Amino acid sequence: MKISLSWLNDYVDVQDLAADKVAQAFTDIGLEIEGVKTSAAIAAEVLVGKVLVAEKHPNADTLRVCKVDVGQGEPLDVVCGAPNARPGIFVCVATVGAVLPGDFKIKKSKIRGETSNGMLCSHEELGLPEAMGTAGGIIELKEPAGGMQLGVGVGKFLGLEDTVLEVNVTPNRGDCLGYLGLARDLAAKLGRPLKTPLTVSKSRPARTQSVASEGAVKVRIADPDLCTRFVALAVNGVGTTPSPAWVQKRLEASGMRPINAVVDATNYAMLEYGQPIHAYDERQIRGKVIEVRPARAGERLKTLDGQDRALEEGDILICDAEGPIGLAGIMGGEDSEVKADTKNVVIEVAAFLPSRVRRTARRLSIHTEASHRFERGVDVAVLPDVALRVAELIHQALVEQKAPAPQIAFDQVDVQAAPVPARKVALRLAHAQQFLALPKLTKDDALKILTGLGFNLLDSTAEGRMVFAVPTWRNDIEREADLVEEIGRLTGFDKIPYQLPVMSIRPNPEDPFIAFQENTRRALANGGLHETVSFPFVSPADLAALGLAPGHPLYPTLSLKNPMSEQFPLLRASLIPNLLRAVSANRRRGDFGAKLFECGRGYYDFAQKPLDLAKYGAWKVLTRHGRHLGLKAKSDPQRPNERSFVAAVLDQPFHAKGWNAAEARAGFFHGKAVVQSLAQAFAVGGIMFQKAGATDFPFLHPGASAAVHAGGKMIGYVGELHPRAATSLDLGAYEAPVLVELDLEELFNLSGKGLKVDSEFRKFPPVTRDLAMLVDRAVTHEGVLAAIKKFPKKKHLTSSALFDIFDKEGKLPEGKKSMAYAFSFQSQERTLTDAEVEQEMEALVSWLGEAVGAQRR
Amino acid sequence: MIEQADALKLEFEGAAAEVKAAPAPDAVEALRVGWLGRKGKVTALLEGMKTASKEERPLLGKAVNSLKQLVEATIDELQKASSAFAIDLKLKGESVDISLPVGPLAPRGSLHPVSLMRQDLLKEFRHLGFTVYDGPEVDYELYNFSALNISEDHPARDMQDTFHVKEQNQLVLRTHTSNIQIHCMLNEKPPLRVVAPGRVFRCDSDPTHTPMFHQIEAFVVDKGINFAHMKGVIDAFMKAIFGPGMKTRLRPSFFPFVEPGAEMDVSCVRCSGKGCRLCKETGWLEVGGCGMIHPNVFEAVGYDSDYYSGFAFGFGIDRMAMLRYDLDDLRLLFDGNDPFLAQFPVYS
Repeated sequence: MKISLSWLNDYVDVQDLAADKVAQAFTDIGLEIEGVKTSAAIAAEVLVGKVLVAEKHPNADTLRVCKVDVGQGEPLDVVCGAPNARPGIFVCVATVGAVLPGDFKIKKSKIRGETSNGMLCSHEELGLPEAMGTAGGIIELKEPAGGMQLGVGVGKFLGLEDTVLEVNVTPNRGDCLGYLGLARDLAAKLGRPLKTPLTVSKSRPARTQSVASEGAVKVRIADPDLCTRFVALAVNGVGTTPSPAWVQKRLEASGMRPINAVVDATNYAMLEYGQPIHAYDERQIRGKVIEVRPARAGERLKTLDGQDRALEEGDILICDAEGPIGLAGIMGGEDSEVKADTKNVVIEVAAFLPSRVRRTARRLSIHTEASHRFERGVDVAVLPDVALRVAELIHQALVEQKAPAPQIAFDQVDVQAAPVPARKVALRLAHAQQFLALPKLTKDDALKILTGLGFNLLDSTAEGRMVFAVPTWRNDIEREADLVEEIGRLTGFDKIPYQLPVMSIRPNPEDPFIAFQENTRRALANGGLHETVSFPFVSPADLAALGLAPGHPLYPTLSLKNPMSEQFPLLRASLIPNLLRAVSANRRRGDFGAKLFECGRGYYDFAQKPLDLAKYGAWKVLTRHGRHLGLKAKSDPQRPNERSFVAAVLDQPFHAKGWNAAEARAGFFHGKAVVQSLAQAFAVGGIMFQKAGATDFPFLHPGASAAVHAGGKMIGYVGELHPRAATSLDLGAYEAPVLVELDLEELFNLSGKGLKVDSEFRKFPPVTRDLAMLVDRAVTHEGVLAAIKKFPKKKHLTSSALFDIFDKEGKLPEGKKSMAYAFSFQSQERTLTDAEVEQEMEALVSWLGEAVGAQRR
Repeated sequence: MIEQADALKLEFEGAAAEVKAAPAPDAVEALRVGWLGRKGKVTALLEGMKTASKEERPLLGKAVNSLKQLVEATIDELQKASSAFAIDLKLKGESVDISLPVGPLAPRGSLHPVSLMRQDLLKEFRHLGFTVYDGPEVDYELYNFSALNISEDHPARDMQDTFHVKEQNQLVLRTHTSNIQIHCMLNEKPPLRVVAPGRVFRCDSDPTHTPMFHQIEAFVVDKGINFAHMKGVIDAFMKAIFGPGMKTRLRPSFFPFVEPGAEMDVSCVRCSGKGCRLCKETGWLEVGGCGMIHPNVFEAVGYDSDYYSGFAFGFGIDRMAMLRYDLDDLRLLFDGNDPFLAQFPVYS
């Protein structure tokens, strides 16, 4: 909320304080000032001057030619028409260049032949309140005790330079959405008295017996829960005169647009009290009846902004005899504005159920000054005062504008099911002392703070238990903690000491998965990859490019009602799509060879879309995850699954050409190495790579990809991006990156399981023999190893390492390839002789011939 | 023949001196073969002894023997010298251009700046006896709002722009890590010293706001915990992170799940509180929010709010990382920009 300091000064005296001091005081009590802006209410070229000479204009009877001293240079010649222009008075001189309200520029001119270098101003011409003016003429400034300083700005002299503070009113403080509420907190902080608007106004207008609110409107509240109080006041003979300039200025300072005296009075009073007000043209209330009732299903209302709104049961409506005329607390109906020919108005000041106003406003996406305040709650007790205040403001405005004074009804309609009883809240002094760590806080301190804020002490015991009546405007105060907060806030948090708590050392065990995730990050970073973090919002177009369709376990099952961008409405089930986006973005910037990894969650809603296991068989063991959930939340069957993944993409080239190395392509084996390094780093045993099926992995290169299995489960996959997908994603069929994605929780469950420590001390040297053999192309390394494992005459063979593969077309028999292994033989008893190694080697060669069709080359 | 032996001695000394000047291994080997080899001169002389007369033999034997010993000893010496000579020769051909560029021994990767920051923060929290807790990122409004004293109809819900999930009513992306308070307290009994880092989501995007960002939140629950303890722990923590000269300050504010609530300021990390552009000349940086846990929150998780009290404080990890690494635009953190990310280390 924007507040003008000069206006605030009406309710609490802060004239002696600099704006930043006031701002600091507000911030110190939790009403944070987010901006301070000083503006001149009067143009800087309007100066204090003294009339030295005032002679009759030679060519005009009503004009005078004056010489005015403005404290600098020669006295100015100014032609003036005011009857009170006479030598000796101090005046407001608008000098050449000044711009007055109404965009009126002061220029050097000749008036009936006489030069005029400015203008002597009345209060109207400067947009000042009548009270600051001088009846029937130009303003005569009073000489201050220290003598008049000529030539200073009138704005400065009159203290009219205004400062506007931007207050961040937190949602609990609906009462501070008006000057009075803000002034009350400030007054309590500064220890100064609070002045209320009705006592501020100087002349209370008389109310007339000739107008009766009861006659103008009958009010009926259908459901007292929806509308706790409804006050109506009739004011006749208002017209649509503009407000006086000072009212307009104040409204503008607080960010509202002046309209006319009636509307401005409702806004002005709203800004004072924080209470929204509506003024109806009497003629709009058909049948002279207002009913506040819940809307019925199917009802519609065209609101003031021209929108035809569909209503729902429970929206609160203001209706007349013929139907809805306003959406209570939010916006009036189309015809509910005061018109140019409006004569008589009915002022509505009411209180509506905050939660209901909020629900309706949110559903219809309407946010108004009124709904903002009603959602936060208003002060039910003050409604009749507010109605009177509006009438009084209308009266004051019309009189100042020389319009006929309006007639204010002698009565008010005031419908209230039952007066709302004041809430009572007890405070234990000892508790406040302990909780705030203010042992020296006395009962008097607490009382001073709370009564300053409007709390009434109802009861008090010797032990320091005090019962307070909560002020009607403080809808946020419900329990003792709220009172303790008030005391802490007004005392100042800086008065509270710093202490460290003494606690038992009962440890709360930490889930080791938390450290595991950090270790995974370090392991991959140490392996040369760069960690990235991406948003979990996925584009359906990207998924289509990857060949993923709904029903696939990597296709999202959750989406957002209100996505940031329509392009990314889905919540990821895999980290890969956005990592590929990052690769594209890097390439567009000319950065090739990105090596990115991410640890993060994918979301899967089993409750929504069960997996199509008939189709995607590889995923049959997709388990529920819930390490991050407590027992209570885990047992909720509807709760979506959150899987922790680690995923990596290796872009082309794997490394760029250098002086000591040729450019290297990233391929399947780099991805496999990522999996192996994690498996080794965490001693995950039994990792197996199986050919990835095209249905399960439509986005992977069918010949260069694998599903990663361990512990009887598929825990992820690795492979080159399918050239078709790479083309669709604009990554290029021949430049496809390599992908890896592993379920981190499964990896964690298996970590350490593969740890085997060979503690045997080997005393005798190993003997090695190399073997190059011809096998069918279909024979795999895994197949050879499996055969060796079953070697029946095995005695001393301890290891077999593949060191060469040769399969060039034409160099070998059709359909064959050569694989070369280094075998190692070792005994624990003695150094092996050549003869016994040869013997075992021969047996091995013939076994491999039998098992995998190998021929020695 | 004795003369022959003497002459050979002279000849050998000459040849040996020549080889000694540059004892390349092949020259030494040639010398050895020429003198001691099967057709070598010493071997031939020894052969010749067979034809010498009986009288000559002892003298001749002595002369030949001494020649043989000299040749053997000299060649032995030369062989030793030759291995050093060969190394010197090798070194001469092996001088490298030490200015050529190389990468690290193993390719160096990097951690994300937010990970680096989080690891530092968690390290300090663990020093202070806090346990790390995790919770769901997609959660029900009950945990994210209602149990945290943010009722559905309260305008406080508007303080955070919430992402709502389409498929299930009441399901949202968590707007803060405070949902972990609820999950944790529903499953644990006090005393609690817990810290919860995590990703959070709000629909908002500009240079200082992204729809996803990282928060960290710490909370303490026990009997007798008061406001001074909150100030003390926050101060100790910030000093641990920013250094002992750091000052902290709390300003009253409102968060529905705490009471009293406060904004948490630290003295400006750039100017140490003197006033600069970063802190808008105030000397203070707002880093997060804190407060005493609201009794309504304790009641929502079934704790006795009369017996237990506690405090919570939280802040943005990203903002801290931005301060540490002097970054201006938050969006850079979530862009996957490889050269940018590659600049960061693996260990903080």
